[in-house]
Amino acid sequence: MKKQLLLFLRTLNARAYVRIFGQMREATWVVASVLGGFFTIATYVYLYRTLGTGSEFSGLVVLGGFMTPFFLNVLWGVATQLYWEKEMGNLELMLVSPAPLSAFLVGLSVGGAMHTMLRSLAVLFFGVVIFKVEFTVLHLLPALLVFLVTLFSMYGLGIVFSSLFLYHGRDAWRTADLVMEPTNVLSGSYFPARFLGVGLLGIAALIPTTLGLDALRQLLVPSFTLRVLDWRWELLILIVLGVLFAFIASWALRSVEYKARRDARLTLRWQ
Amino acid sequence: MDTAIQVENLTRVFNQRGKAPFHALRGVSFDVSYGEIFGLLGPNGAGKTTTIKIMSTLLLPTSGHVTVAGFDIEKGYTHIRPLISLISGGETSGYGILTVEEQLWMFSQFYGMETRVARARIEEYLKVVGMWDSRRQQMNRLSTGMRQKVNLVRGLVTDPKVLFLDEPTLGVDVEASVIIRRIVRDWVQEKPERSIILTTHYMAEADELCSRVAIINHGLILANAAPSQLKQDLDSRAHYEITVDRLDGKQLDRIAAFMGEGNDLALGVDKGTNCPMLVAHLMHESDIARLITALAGQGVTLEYMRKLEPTLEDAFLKVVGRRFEDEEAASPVS
Repeated sequence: MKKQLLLFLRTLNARAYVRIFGQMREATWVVASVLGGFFTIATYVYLYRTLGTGSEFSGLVVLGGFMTPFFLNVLWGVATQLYWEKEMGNLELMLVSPAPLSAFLVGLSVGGAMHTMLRSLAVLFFGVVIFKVEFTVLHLLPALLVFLVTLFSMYGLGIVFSSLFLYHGRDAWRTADLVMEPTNVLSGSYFPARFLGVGLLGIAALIPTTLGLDALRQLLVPSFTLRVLDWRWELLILIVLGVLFAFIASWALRSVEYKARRDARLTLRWQ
Repeated sequence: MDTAIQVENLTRVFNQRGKAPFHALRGVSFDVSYGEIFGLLGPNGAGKTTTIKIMSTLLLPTSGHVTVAGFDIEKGYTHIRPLISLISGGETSGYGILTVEEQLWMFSQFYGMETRVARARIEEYLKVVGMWDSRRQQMNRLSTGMRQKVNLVRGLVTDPKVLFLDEPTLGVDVEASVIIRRIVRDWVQEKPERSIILTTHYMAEADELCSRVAIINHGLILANAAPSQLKQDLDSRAHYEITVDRLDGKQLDRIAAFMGEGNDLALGVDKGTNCPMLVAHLMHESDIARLITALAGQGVTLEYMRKLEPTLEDAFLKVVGRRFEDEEAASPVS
């Protein structure tokens, strides 16, 4: 048991290392992604200012800009990752090793989250400094808890997707592309999710960013009143979603690995 | 326990949409002992890689039974994985942004190795392959040969009991190939509980490394024996090329009569010296002494003599019925 745990942690650490330190070597990509995130929030901040909305709208946009890279990382860095590992020839080596697939995925989730954190903090910093956005620090600890639970839930969903994408091969790329824009809208990255209406909110609540972002806005943006639910309920839903995703992910990974071994989908590239 | 791998009546069928099922393996059986380098030879699409993938737990068989290190590959694959390594030729695995050292450390962690032990082994093997000075170089800046040496080190660092080498010298220059072959041979001799399964396109490589080879084609094992045995089975006669100072047709007839039936002699010209060259196919190895006596009896002086050895490729030709390159060209799988 101890040996298995050590194997899991060592694999997690090694896979996270690639994400954290390896990708730092691609400086132009880091700079481009920070600038890209910043210009997106700038667009929305100027839009809201033009419309003459309250200052809380700038705050919710900057928080949206802070959280969006995490969701993009989940989609492109976790959900599609097993598929890319297969294309690069790494998946075979991962499977031949004694480490479980879940250790690789948790590792790249942890690494991806840490790497994204730096970019997101940069976007937050520029947003606060340049647009003079104010946040309250009165509820910093609950906000931190909501943030961590949202990440747990988001990356859990990413791992569920990764097993599906692996099995469905080439379609993974198109599916991720297809999923990206609607989820950006449904998660209310740059507007209060409440405006989606009850019907759409029911679907949007399955995307952890939606409720996570809404809860963070309640806790950090002064005078933000356009909430979906009280942040405590949102936190509870996020915990339930996270546990559910973790359970489904664990089952899906084992199941997909078996099916892939049976149907030769792990060994044949471009399948 | 002496058997590292046991394969019994292994079959694998690939079902393809809109196409007839492809029978990659049709009842393959063999075993591999510890301390052995076992070769799987055959053209593309013959079933070598499918066999390796099944043995290395990446693929499930359609039927048949396979054990690796005493564990069943279907039920006991979690026990097998810590004991094996897989190295494929032309492999571009890993991450280009990592350095050689980082990449090897990362893969060692997937086997749960302590970092201290892993680093010591990485240093040892990088020095063996002559890449210690390149340890801080990024993977995406390495040549094919260097990358393949790193792949080899990756496979050895975890100290597996069974090493699967799938075309390990594919696309690698001569110098790197020699180094890889030397390391592979030394590695298996170092500890008695190690064994290697090698697939290769290079017959000379299999001949040099393998204690036994199985020739596989169209999913069937056509022969399974030591390379020397396969060559011996090819032709039991002894073959010689003898360059002499002078020899004419009449002298040749007299020598042929002296040697008797079953010993074939032919007269040609040595292209290097332009001297007459006698090509002799003798029934027994010992007949060479009689032939030399007969030549001396005709007043002929020997300039140069060479024994012609059959090659593994000749054995392949006999077993498969076509030359290896012809098989490659004719194969539907590229």
